Amino acid sequence: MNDFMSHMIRSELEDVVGREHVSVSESDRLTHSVDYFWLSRLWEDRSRTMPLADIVVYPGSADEVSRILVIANYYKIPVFPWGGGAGSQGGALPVKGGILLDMKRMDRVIRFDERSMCVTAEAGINYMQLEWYVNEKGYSLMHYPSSLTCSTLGGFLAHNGIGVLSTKYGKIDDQCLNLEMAVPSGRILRSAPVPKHSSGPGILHMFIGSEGTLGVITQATMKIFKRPETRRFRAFLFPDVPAGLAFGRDLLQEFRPSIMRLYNEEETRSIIKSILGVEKDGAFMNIAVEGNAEIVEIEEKIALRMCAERGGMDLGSDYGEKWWDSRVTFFYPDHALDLPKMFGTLDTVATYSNIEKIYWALKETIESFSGVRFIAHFSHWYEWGVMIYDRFIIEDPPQDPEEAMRLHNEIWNAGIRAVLENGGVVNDHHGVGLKLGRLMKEQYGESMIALEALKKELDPNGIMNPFKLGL
Amino acid sequence: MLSGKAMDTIRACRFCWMCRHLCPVGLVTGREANTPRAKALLLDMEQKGRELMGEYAEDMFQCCLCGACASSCETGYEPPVFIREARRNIASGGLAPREISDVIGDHLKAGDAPGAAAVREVRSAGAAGTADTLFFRGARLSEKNREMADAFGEILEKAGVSYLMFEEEPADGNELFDLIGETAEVKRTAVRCAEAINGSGAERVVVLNPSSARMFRQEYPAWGLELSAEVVTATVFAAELLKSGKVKAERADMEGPVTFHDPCRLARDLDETEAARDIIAAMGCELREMIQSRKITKCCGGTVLASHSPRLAEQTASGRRADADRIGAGSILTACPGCLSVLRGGSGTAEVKDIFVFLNERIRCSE
Repeated sequence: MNDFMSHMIRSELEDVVGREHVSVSESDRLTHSVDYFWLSRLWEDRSRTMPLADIVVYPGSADEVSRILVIANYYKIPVFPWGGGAGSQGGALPVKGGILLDMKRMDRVIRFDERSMCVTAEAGINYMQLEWYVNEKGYSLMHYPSSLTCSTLGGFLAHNGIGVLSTKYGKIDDQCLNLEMAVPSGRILRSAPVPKHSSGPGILHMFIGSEGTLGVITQATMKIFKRPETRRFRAFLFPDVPAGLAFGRDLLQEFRPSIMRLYNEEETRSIIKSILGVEKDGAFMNIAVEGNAEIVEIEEKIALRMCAERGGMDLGSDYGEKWWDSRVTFFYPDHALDLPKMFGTLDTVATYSNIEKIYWALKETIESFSGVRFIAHFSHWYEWGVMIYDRFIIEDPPQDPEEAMRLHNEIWNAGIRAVLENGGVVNDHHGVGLKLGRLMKEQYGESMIALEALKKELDPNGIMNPFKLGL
Repeated sequence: MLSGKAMDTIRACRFCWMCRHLCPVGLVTGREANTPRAKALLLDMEQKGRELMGEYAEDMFQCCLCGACASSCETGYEPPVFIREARRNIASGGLAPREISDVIGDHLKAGDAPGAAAVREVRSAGAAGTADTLFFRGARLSEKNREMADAFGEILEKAGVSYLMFEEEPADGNELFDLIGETAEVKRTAVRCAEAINGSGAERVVVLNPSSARMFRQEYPAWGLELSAEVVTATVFAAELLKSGKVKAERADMEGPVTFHDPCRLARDLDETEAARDIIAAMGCELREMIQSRKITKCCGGTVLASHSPRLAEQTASGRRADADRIGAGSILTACPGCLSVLRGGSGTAEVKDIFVFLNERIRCSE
C-alpha cells in the first residue's frame, strides 16, 4: 500500500478507537511478530525478522471491532486478532501484514449470574484475572491449562483449548454457553443463548475453534463451578501403557476424575523421575478426584480397587500432590523445552480402539528421524477415547534456520499423517494455526467444503487471519 | 552494554508468557509492549544488531518496577534487572523522552544538593535519655503527604519515643535508582544519605517510605554502604508499639470493611505483610482481602511512573482501586506515602486512607 493511503487508513482507524490506540511503532509491531510457535522463536533467535503487521490497533469495545472490520473489509486489508499471543501454532502471527488487532483492552466483566452459574466477559480479559474474579465470589472456571496466566478468554475459545481438569469439567467448548463474534461485514453475530438445543446446528461450535478466520470473538459467557469441597490425588504405576489405558477407559465408565494423566515409559523415566522422583520403571499415572467429600471417598476406593485388579501399583497421594504443586513449573524458563532444542507437541485425540495404534505409529514415525526423542502421555479422557500428548525433541537441530524449518515441517507432516491414517485428528487442543493449516484438507477431505463455505460467506474478501486453519 | 545477569534474564523472558497476568501496567493498557516478554524480546533483538533504543525508550519507562513479574517466576528471573539497565542506557544515550528526562534532571539535582546532615531531637513526654531513633520520612514524598509523616511522628510521641529528624533530609536515591539504575549519580546520592544517617548517631532508623527502607536494606549493602543504624519500617515499628502496649488503639468505627493495599516494596522486597494487618486487627476493623494481596499485590502505579506519565499512573491506580471496590471495601488503607498519593489520583469508590493517620486518630496513650 502506498504511503498516502496508509495514512488515510490510519486516520480512519484512529477515528474509531482514538489516536492513542493505534500504533505503527516498530516496537509494537515487533512484539506482535513472535508468538509461542517454535518457528517464530527460531526466526527471532537467528536474527531473522518475522513478518510484521503494518499497524497495531487496540479496540475498546465490540462496536469498535465491528467498525475496524468494516474498514479493513472495504480496503481488503488482512486482520490478525491477537489475545495473549501465547499460542504454539502461529495462529496469531500477522503473516500477511495488515492490521494486528490486539484485544487486551477489552477486559471488562459484563455480567455475573450466580443463579445460572455463569459469567459473561469481553474476549480480551486475561483468563487468570477472570478466574480471580469468580474466585472472589466463591467459584471457579475450572479451566486450568498451563497457559492460564498467559492467555485471554477469546484466545482460549478461538483455538478451543483444554485445561488439566478437563476430564471432569470439560474443554473450553463444553464450558462456554454462548458467544458473540464480529465479522467483516460489520455485523455482530450471536450464538443461541444456551449451548444445548434443537434449534438447528449450533452456531456456537462453528465459532469456537475458528481461530480468527471467520471473525473476531468479542465476548462470551462461561460456566462457573462451585469450588470442590475436597481434591484428592492418587498415583499409580502400571506395567506398561496398554495396562494404563485399559484402567483409564474402565474408570471412565464408573465416574469422572478431574485429572488423569498416564505417562509412557520414556516420559516416566525422564520427566517424572526428574521432577517427581519416581524411580520405578513402568507407566506412571496420577489421578485426582474432587467434589463432595463423601462422593470423593467412594470414588477413591473404586479407583484403588480397579488399579489392584489391573496389576497397577498404588504409589499413594504424595506424587500427585507434588505434580499439582509443580504443574506450571514445567512451563517456566529453564524447566520448559526451549531453544536451542527443536521440539513440538503433536497432541491428538482418538477412540480407545485407535489410540494405541496412533501411539505406536507416531513413536515409530518420530523415531525414524535421526536424533529425535519421543515422549508421550495421555490426559483428557472421555468415555469413548483419550487425548495423547506426544512430543518430539531434538537436542541439536540444524543451525541454519531454513534447514531447521524444513526438518521441523517434515517431522510434523510425517507425524500428523501417521495420526490421520490411524483415526486421529490434526490437533486436540493447541489448534491448527499456521503450523498445521496445510494438513486440514488431509483430515477432512471433501468435507472441508463445509468450512470453506462458511469462510466464503462470512469473510468473502478473505481478510480474517489469512493462512490459518487451512482457510 | 547490559550485564551478564540482564542478558541471561532477557534470554529467559523473551519467550515466556507466564507473568503477564500480574503486570499492573499491562493489565490497564492492554499493550503487548507492556509485558516483560515484549520488553525482553525488544532488548534481545537490539543485542542482535537492530537499532531499537529510540523505538522502545518510552516502553521501558512504562513499568512500575513493582517486581510482580519476578515474584511469580518459578525459576527466579527478575525482569526489573534488564528494565533498569535499559533505562540507564536510554538516559545516558540521551534518548529518554522529554518528560522523563525532565524528571531525571530534577532527581539528579536533589541528589546533588549539598548535604545538611543536622538533626533535631523531638522529645516525647516521659521519655528518658537521649533519642536513639531516627525517623526517616522520605522527604520528597512526605512533602506531598505531610499528614502521614506528621501522624507517624505523633504516634511516636504518644508512645513516649523521642526521636531524631534531619533538618533537611537527604535524598536516599530510590526514585533515581528506578529511573536510571545503578549509576555513579545514584551511588553518590546513596553515599551522602548513608553518611548523614551514620552521622546522626542513631541506633535505629525508622523509615516511613518502604522504597527508602528497601534501598537501605538491600541496595546500599550491595554497593558497600553499611548503615550503623538498624533499619525498621514504620509499619513494623507501629505494630510493635501496639503489641508492647505502649499505645492502644480504640475500636475503629468504620463504614464497611477495610482492605489493605500492600505496597510492593514492603510486601515483595522486604517480605513484610503482616505488621500492617496486625495494626488493622488492633483497631478492630473488618479486613477484607483483595485477591492480589501480600506477595502478589498489584502495584498502584508508583510515584516514579506518576512523575513522568501521570495519565498512565492514574489508569494503573484506578485498576487497583477497582479491585477494592469489587470486594465491597469501604476504605483502602495503605502504608506508603507514594501509594497514598498515587491511589488518590485514581478513581474508585472506596476511600483511600493512610494507616498511620487512621491509627493515630484511634490511639490512646497507655498508662
